[in-house]
Amino acid sequence: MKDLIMFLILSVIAVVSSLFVFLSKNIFRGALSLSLLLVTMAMFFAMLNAEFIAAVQILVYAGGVLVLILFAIMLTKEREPSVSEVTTSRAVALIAFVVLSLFYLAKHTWEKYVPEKEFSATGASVGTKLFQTYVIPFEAASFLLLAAMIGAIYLARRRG
Amino acid sequence: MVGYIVPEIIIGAFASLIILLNYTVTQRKILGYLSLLAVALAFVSLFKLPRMTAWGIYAVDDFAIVFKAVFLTVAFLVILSSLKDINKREGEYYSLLLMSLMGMLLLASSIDLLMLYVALELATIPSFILAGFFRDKQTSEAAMKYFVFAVVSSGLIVFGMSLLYGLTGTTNIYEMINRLELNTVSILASLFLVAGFAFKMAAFPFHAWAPDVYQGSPTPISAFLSSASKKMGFLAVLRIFYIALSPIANYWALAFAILAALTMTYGNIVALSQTNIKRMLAYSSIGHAGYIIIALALLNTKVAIFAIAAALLHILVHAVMKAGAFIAGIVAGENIEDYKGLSKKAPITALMLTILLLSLIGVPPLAGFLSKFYILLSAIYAGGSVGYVLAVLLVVNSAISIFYYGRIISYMYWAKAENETKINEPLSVTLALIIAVILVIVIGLYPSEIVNYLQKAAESFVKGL
Amino acid sequence: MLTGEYIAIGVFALIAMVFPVITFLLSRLLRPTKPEPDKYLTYECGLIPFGDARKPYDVQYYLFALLFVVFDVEAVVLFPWAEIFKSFGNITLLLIEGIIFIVVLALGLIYAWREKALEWR
Repeated sequence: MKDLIMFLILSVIAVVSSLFVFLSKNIFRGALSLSLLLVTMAMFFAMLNAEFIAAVQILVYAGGVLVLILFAIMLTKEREPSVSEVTTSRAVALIAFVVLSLFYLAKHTWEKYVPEKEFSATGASVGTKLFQTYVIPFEAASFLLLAAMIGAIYLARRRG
Repeated sequence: MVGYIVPEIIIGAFASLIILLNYTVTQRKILGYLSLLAVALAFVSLFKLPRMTAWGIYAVDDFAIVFKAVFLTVAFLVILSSLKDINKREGEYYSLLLMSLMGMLLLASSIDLLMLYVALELATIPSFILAGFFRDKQTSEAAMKYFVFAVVSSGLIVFGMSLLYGLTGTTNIYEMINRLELNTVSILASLFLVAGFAFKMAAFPFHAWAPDVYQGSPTPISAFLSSASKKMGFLAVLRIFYIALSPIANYWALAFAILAALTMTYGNIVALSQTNIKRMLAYSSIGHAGYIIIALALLNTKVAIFAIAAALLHILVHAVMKAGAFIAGIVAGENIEDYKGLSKKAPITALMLTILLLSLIGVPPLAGFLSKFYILLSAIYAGGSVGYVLAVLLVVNSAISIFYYGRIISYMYWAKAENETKINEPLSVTLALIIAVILVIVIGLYPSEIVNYLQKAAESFVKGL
Repeated sequence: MLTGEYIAIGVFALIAMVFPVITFLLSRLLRPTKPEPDKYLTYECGLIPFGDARKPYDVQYYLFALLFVVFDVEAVVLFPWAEIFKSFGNITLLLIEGIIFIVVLALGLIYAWREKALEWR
């Protein structure tokens, strides 16, 4: 019961903040609203016994990636926002999509996919997976980060 | 202990080495030769790879070996043809190229959705930078377009994968077969994956980025994108759909049938009106993607194994042909007017390009004929309305393609150029073209051995190791 | 579900959010209100601000943010690495795995250094 109330509160925050991300006319405010969404996601992870993922979510996403997004926004010149009009047909399409997907998702029974044994994602359990089963993608990820770093520095450096 | 991952280690080590040597080597050409050496070494190591599965996420089967061979061959041709063009910033260029190649090699062996996604991103992210490597307006625009489309498609793919994980509780594609059922959510997941990978394959409604990006990128990178990056889509679709999503095969097979029909018709018809060679090759590449998707549409029939072998053959052959055709553009130029009288201006390039174009049309006994013929055969064997319609469309489209490929050939040999001064044909580019042509001829001459091996490869990946 | 264990943090966050609202409300009720135009300036003394805060920044800020994120990720994955060190069977293997990861990212740092991305210009 306690969990359900918590989940509902967090869901409302998540939905409202993500709506604000793309409805907001000021892109900067949209990005700040995104940070609220990311923190809420972290709380969801914590509720699912994935404390390590929750910490990563806050450290990397709410901390790092958001700073990156804000700087990317600050790199650009501010222009008159060209937010597209909310027309009746678009609103109807959106509402129809939401209602239909909710309908299907509610009809579908998810209970049987809940893992049987108690699930947890602490640092230790993530570490065991990361350095044993998933060691190849783990090392591949280091090359991924290296490529992103080299690429960004190469593209952003001054001419000459 | 790490015997199964030797090619990737070689490529990764050389990529690191090159970025380090970037600041110490004064003979800049060495960096290019080093990356050639890396690709060659990795190719040799393919012959010694043990067939095994590691950790349940990484499988070295014959199917993976075929794709690794394709990627390494294309990378070799691309690096060879870059030696002339790239004469500063070699360090970044070759190491990013090798990192992308490493991602492709890993992707070829991925049998786990998480592994597959990391490999896909590792292969894709360096190619954004390579597409915009010259940092001028044209290549930057290409890179930007490529980036936006690739990121959207990755988002779709990840969403589809997360739904699959939610449904089955596993990321291993072989374990997924028994746990996946037909319901709304699994169809939704497969739709997301079809759309996401259709972007990667540049299939018809999702193709818009391909012509612009191939036209704008540096020419060797256009070859890399169309011959290697694009093939990743087919690879991932074969792995995920044929194995993990086989319980709902009838639904997605129909989607692929529609995609195949639209893609090949659209690609070939639009290619007719192009005057920029790179753009025309891009549209023809879309058309050829349609031919390969025919095989994907037949995966729910009794001839699935044969169709996979045919698809593998066409992927291999098309990669070599298309890479060669793009590389010829380095010497000849981009505009169709540049090709007038090319047989006088650059005789070797003109001859090689003619053979490659004939193979793209599908003239026997070249490899292009063979691979198209096998796809046609599999469509006919599969029968049913889908099989016959696709077979007819394949023949009609091949006929259409004669016009635009033939136009280049006739320009090269029978049209008069305004000035007929010789163009310099760099040795490295000519060498790359010759290798491509030799491959096209050799595959055409020994079809049964190759098809037998490809069929073995298809069986190996269906059974799992 | 861990809601129970996190309830204290939740309450703390709630108080932190409500506290400034209450202080502002209280001071509004208690203080005398005499509006004057000068009081609405950003700084009551000093320069009068001009222009707009939304000016394009230098791309260097972005590069620093990017390097920060990359090494943030590195730090995050090294936490579980340290956590399982004692219980892991093959410590040599674990050490090699971690070191490869760090070395590959160090290459990126070397590149940034040599490209002078770390210098402020």
